[in-house]
Amino acid sequence: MSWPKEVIPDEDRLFMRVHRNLLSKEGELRPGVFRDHGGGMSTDWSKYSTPEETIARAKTPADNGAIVLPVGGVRTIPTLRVEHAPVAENRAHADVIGEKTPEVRVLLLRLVEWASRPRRSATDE
Amino acid sequence: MQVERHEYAQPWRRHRRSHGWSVERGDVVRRSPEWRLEDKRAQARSSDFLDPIREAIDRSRWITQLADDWDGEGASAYRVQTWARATDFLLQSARWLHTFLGVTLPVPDIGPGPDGSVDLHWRSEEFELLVNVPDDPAKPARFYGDDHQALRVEGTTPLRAERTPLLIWVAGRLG
Repeated sequence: MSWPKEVIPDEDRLFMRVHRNLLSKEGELRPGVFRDHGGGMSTDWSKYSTPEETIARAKTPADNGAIVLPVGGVRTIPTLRVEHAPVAENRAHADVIGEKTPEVRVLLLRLVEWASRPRRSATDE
Repeated sequence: MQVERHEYAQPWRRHRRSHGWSVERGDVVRRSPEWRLEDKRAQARSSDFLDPIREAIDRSRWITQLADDWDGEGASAYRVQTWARATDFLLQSARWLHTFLGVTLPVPDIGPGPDGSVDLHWRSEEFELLVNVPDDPAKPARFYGDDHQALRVEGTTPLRAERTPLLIWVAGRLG
């Protein structure tokens, strides 16, 4: 099935998976979470997904949590665009497009809220 | 070579000869800036200020054991050389700041960055700084930092502590 591409309003939210290796020893989110996969940074639009569904789409859901990014907040970073990019198996899929420079990653980090924390990484205890 | 070693152990002798400063029984009465520099270097060698940084580096070795697709999203593995460049830079920076500016560098989080790069991330009330060391050794590290207000710094830096004004900025946030 092919889903129509829609405009994502500023008031909505994006959910993004976080692998447990992307938590620091103190349990804080690492800036390394912000990275592109192909054309952009993959997220799910809150209109068509919940954080639980976002986590369930991971290869290993037990290793993942989910964060929330406000769409309007992401768009305050001038070099970033938020675009709906639905795929057959995921109507919620959205890309955050633009280079993830150190500045962009620090600014994104400040926008984040947790929806569901992953279990702590066993490798960094 | 023997003379050089002897002078290093007793720096006042060199200064007395070259500058005529007063030295009695090995006690330097008037210290030159160069003498103080040697003194600071000796302190840096003998102190344990690097221990917390070394412990953080040891703890971060797990990064090099991650395989391709470690996150289930296609993330790259990390080369030991990249991790070593990042952690060498961290050690050099901590040593340089302590030796030359008398500042103890806080311990950063050492974490996996995008595309095989390694992140050094400091986050405190005084400042936040992210230094990203790329997988490509020919490229410089990129950084961004601010004091949570208007004072910001960003750019690229070679991975040699003595060449980077970035550390002066860090010292300013800690001083």
